[in-house]
Amino acid sequence: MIHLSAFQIFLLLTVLKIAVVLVITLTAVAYTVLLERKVLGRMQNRWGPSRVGPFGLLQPLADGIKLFLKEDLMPLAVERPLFVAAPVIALACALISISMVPFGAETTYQGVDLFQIANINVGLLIILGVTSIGVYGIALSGWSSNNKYSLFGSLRSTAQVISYELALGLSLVGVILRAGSLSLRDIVNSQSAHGARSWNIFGGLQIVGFFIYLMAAYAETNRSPFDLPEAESELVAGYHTEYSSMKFAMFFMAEYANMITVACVATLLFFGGASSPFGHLTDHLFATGFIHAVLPIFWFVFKVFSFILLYIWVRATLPRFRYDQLMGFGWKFLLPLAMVNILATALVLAFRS
Amino acid sequence: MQTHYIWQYIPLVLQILVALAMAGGMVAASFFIGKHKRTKVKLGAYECGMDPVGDARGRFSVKFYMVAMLFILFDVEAVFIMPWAVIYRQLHTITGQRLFGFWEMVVYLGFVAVGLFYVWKKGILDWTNTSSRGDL
Amino acid sequence: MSLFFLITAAIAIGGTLAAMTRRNPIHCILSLALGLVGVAGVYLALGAQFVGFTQILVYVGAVAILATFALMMTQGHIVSALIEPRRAFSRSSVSGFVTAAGVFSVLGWAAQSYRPLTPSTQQAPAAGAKEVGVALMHTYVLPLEVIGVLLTAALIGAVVIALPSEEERS
Repeated sequence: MIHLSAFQIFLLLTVLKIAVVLVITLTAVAYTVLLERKVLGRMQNRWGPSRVGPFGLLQPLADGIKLFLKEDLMPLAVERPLFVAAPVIALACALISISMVPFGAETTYQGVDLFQIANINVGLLIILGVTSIGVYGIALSGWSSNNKYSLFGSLRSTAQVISYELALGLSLVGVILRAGSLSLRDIVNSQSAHGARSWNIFGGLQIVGFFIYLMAAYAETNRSPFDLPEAESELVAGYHTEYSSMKFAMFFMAEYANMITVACVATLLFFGGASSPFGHLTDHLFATGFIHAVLPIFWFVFKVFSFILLYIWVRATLPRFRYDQLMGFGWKFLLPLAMVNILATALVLAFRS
Repeated sequence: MQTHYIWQYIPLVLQILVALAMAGGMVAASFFIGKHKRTKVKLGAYECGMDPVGDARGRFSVKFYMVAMLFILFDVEAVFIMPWAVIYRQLHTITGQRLFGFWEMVVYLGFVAVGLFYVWKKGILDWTNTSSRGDL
Repeated sequence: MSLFFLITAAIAIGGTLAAMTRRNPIHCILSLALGLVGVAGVYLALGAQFVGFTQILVYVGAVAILATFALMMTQGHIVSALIEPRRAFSRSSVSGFVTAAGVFSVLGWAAQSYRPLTPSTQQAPAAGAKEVGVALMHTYVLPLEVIGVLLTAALIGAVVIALPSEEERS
């Protein structure tokens, strides 16, 4: 047995965690696409992909291979380095924020937290910062493509994302007020006392904050009903019109990875993260052992999965906004509402504690 | 073990490096795996099958720019709210008054709201109303 | 510790140098953004955690985005007109050097007259969100409110400048 120093163990476990989380995230991205196609299909009274493998389960694999084998086209008019950099930035930013997310209850081995890649006590701020850097992917793809549809799509998208980033940031303040910390671990712990009763959305009275967050998150990820940047009927495909092969797929993956991140953050901030909805009532059933460690992860994944289903459901249900409605909704409704929510939460907390 | 708090950034830095490497690797892999058959029409800018007309980088409504400018200002304002939110529940023990932090934020958000109200009334946030002063 | 500082400082200097020397304006903006990320890293190395990530949020995520945005909306031929051959002693470069010399002398003087920075070796950052919060909300309440007024004034100013005057419209 080789003796490893504490730092080596820390480094080794970190690399292991990153590898596992990224593999799971990318698989989840691929299967979220399949899930979306399946569920959308059923909602529209058709089957969805069903030919490749049992129930179409190998469809993501087939899609992936197809996209890799496609011709990697670089139109003559593009600004080459930025054209390549844009999808890299988009996908990398989408994959970075996941490192802040605590997936399970705090379980340490040799002083290293097993279910969270990086426990930094301003985790929420980092997620917001990484999201704001992700805008570069969209802006640069449109600019470097030198195509009218791309440029207009990316202008629209950038304006939309930065507008809703404000509402998004302010909607989280209520949660921060309650937890008194920007660390995601602390925020989850502040909600774990009495199960679902102490989750921020119920006991924390953050239902308005959650509503703002949900709307802003849909807009941030360019998802329906806020998917104007990719409005097929007007803009072909928006900012990724000129992209083909894997570069196109990377924007696609970035969108779904962002969706998963946003679902994770919603779970952590408003639905108690990995904590059980029954609080400590069921603790005596699984007091020790493997189940005790894995159950929180099950709850976390279950909640995230529900959010993704909600996303798909919303896409199947709601029509697309008009651009002026979109901007008006963000600036004139969500932003003032978020400010009122902050003050109301502060007032309630002042008299509660 | 973790004697210095800089250590807690190591996982983040690693994650950034891995994510960048993976994204870059995908671009490179698809470049080498996919076949390349270049034709002049294929490499032109896409414009629904027509020959591209003019320069893509045309003139756009200044409203997009205004949105970005407003975003900076509100972003800075939001950043000042974060530390307030973090210590809000301890503020009354520091200041000795229960509602000190609350009124502080009422005043601060009041200024923000005045700014938002002004922008609103000036029609900067209207995207359709052509009669407002925001129309450019 | 010092390794972290050296890397981030190198990124900051390299980024800003590239921002000054690159010809294509969009490359300049991106290099500047990279330089600002480096500066954020330096803040982190000095223990100013909150300021560090705020730097990324505000400067990289908003200010540099605004510059990118402005460039995206500029017509192509204007952008290429910006890329002009550079002379060593144009008026702008001389004034730039003078300003830089002034700023650096003030910074040097400030660094001289205060105690040398001691890199924090404790477990917690020296200035996390909590410490900043206590300072802002208790010690410096009035400046905070003044900042609120200042930002509102900046907002109104931005709108007034961007909107056309009555004469221009008619």
